[in-house]
Amino acid sequence: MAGLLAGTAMGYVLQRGQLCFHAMFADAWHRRFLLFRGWALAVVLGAVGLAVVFATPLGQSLNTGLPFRPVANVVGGLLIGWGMAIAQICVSGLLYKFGAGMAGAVVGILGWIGGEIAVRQVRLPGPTVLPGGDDGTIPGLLGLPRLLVAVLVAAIVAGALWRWRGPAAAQSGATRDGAVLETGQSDGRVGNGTGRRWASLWARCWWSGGCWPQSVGWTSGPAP
Amino acid sequence: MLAAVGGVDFGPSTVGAGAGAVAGDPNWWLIAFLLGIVGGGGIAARSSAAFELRGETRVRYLRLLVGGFLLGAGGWIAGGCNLGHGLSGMAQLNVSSIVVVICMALGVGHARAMTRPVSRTRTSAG
Repeated sequence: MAGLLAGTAMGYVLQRGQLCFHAMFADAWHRRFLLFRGWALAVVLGAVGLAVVFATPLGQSLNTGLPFRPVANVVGGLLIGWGMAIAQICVSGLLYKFGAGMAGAVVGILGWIGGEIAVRQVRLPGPTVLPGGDDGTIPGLLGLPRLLVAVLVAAIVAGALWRWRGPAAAQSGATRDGAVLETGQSDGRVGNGTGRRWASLWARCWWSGGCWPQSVGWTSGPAP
Repeated sequence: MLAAVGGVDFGPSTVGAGAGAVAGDPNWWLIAFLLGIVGGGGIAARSSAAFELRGETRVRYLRLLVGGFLLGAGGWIAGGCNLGHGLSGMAQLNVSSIVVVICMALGVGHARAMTRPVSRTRTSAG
């Protein structure tokens, strides 16, 4: 029930924010940073939130960091990037857009399940440079408290975003009527009425689209 | 927090659902989470009049299948997907997640550069 609740909240905010990692990276390559800015702010706010969660008794049983395996991380990351570019969607996008009526997403979901099953026995060679847990994180590497590093990173990123601010629409490629068509964050199917108003609101409040998924993220717990 | 309530040590991620089920050790929290994303997307789309049942072109189906396969394989190898590394892992300040996210971005840029002529003909993109 907890998983269903977390997933429903995540799917809801992802669909409302039209947050898709493929669109974020693709836009960034075209020097459009609307989604990127929202994601960056979401990540640093999430880092502070997670640091607080980890300090509570509830956080003691949670994963606090992933091992750093350079070969696997680089190869896996590149495969995910190529997969996103070919499918023109990310995994979370496949799921929430399937719920929003994109019937063809089921083909991508089947491919995704097949890919995971196909390589489940694969173990790439290469060292584990950093172990999991706190030692695999930047605070662990620096030997500093997680909350302190999270707050510092949040302050630096927030400051950079503040200096980098400007008309969100100019950086997003949003059209005059508010339907974000060129960023790739939406395929133009934003609907009428309320849906269009959401798209317009997203263009103005770039920070909200990333922050809501992140708030759901750390409410749900960290992930490998 | 909801993961802890559910008795598992992690939350938002897509990695492990398929492999766990095949291995006879399904992660029910994760499966429920993924089904919830579908349901949540549906609720959000219906409540904003954005729900539209639609199909794709043949080329798009092929791209979804091939791209989906790479997403699954890459997520397993990298130890996390775009949600796991890109949202939760980055918020954990993991060194591995930073590397994976950079490689994701490079992969998207490289593949888009290689497939640019095909991309211009796309009809529906995520």
